[in-house]
Amino acid sequence: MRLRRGFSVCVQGLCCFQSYGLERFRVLGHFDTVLDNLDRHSVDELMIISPRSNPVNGKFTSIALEELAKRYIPVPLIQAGHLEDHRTFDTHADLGFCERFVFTRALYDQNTYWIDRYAEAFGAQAIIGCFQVSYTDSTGPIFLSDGKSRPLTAKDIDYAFEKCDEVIIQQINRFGHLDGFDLALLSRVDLELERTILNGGVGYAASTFAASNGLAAVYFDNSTFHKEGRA
Amino acid sequence: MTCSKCGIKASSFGTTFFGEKCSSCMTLEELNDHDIVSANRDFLDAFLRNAKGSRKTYDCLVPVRADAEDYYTVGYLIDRGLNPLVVLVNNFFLNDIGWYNFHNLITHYDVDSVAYSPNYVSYLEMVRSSLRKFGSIYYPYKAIQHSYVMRLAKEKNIPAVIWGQCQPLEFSGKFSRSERLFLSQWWIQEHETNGINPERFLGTGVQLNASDAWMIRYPEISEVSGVNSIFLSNFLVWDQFAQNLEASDKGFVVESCINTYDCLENTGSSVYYQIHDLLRIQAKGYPKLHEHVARDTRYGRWALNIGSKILADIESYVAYNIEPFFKDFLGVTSSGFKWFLKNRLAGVNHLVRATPEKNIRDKVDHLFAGPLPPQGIDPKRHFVRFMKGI
Repeated sequence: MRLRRGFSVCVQGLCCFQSYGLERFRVLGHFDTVLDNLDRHSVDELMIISPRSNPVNGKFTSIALEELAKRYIPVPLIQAGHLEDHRTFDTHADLGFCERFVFTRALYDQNTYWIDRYAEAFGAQAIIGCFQVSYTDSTGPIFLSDGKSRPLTAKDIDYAFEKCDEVIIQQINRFGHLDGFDLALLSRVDLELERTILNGGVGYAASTFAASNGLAAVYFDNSTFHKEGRA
Repeated sequence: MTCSKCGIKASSFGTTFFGEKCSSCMTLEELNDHDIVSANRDFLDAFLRNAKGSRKTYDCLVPVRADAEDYYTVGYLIDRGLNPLVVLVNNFFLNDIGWYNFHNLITHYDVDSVAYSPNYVSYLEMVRSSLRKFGSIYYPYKAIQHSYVMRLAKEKNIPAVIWGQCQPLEFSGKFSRSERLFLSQWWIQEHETNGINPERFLGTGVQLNASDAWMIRYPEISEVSGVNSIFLSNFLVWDQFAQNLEASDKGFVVESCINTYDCLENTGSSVYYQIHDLLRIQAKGYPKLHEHVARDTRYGRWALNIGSKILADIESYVAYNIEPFFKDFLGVTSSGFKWFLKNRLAGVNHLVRATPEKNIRDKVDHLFAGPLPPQGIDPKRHFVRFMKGI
């Protein structure tokens, strides 16, 4: 199957931010400018991330879902983060403009209450799991969620592929690094590659690897827009 | 939040904070990262080698606006053995000093040049519409400039378009220096045209025909394939003020200015530090002087407490004379000008005055560390159109 090439960006209100590692952000620009140019960069899907902390003033305010819903988004839209509350769920159910939903904490805590609710409302194909991973050769993959961390285990991975349609391996410490996704991480985890998405510093090396090994998708970060055409 | 190093709270392209430091200061500090500097140098070497090896008449195209930075950019590329084609897109805002500096640039470096003047009648309508709809007079110029230079590079088989300073990188630290920033349609829309695209601009009440609208449309990917456009400051250790000072040695003439002390940047424009700067205050909340003061605090040209004090009181240092733009350029009547001033510039019209409350030049003369910016001379003529044939 053809590798899907997505774009991931943190969004606060209608302002996009680029992550440069854990809780380090720089402004990318207005959400509308990003939307206007998705076609030009052959972006197949858009993942908007609601970060744990606010890039501007440290006080979290949720993605402006109602504002986003007013816009024409030419590709499938995926929301990551801050899904697990009744207001957000109800808003999504009412507006119905978001195709897929990304869960991290549910996998960390192995609590599928919200996964089940979204799956029931939007279908099992709408559920994407996400391993936010920090990786170095010495530490191995460390699974991060909401300020907590522990080593990523085979049990975590099995659980994720059981509960989710696809799973993102998100190298959180490599965001914003040019071609920074460390492929050595993939040799330390046993994944169902055809249901795996790479994210966090994805560049030429990671996308080439993903295409030649049958992975489902890669999600680039802001480097998508730093050159004309396909990332 | 206020940056503990340069004192800014905000900047034109958006500021974030890394602890107590702003993104601009973080990006400046990356110049001390040997890995980043070395990788950037290698990348630029390879990029320029590739451009040079293309065996075309011109190795690269350099868009200029006839200011001091252009002297540095063209000089750098010539020193590296490249043959640049210098291109000026006429925005009809240049004064006699701007034109002199452009002609001196191409004479001093003995380079070929193109000066492109858009259809004046259509351009005037675009500027008028841009001001009316978006409170900006620069959208038409920026849109035409970027579209034209990319089309020209493709037409002439020039593989590289090279700009000097990357403003979002230097003034806002919007990106890491480790990134490779190539010009794209997204880039122009986000950073140059304030989010405006041709569809929004042409939407309502703009009286242009289809052939004029073509001028502001950025080329399709197929129309610019094979042309890569970069910013030198992304890859070099970059000190705008120090570099620009050197232009005077090459015959560059500096214009006097009351609304900043760094007249080296955008010297020779009849609008940049006047109506354009006033519209910047209206849109962003601060003048260009804000960026100059913060930059020079960042570079240690004055102490944080001095720079912060100026930033906190920035409007006291500016005064605008915008009537010539309305009367001489747009051809607006006195009553029309007064109406616009009262109704469309209501929040900033107190800054349209003969002199500022405080003189920034006095501060510079007494508190600036290192070489002082030149005083400059007054232009003799504003809005010198210099169109084809005459």
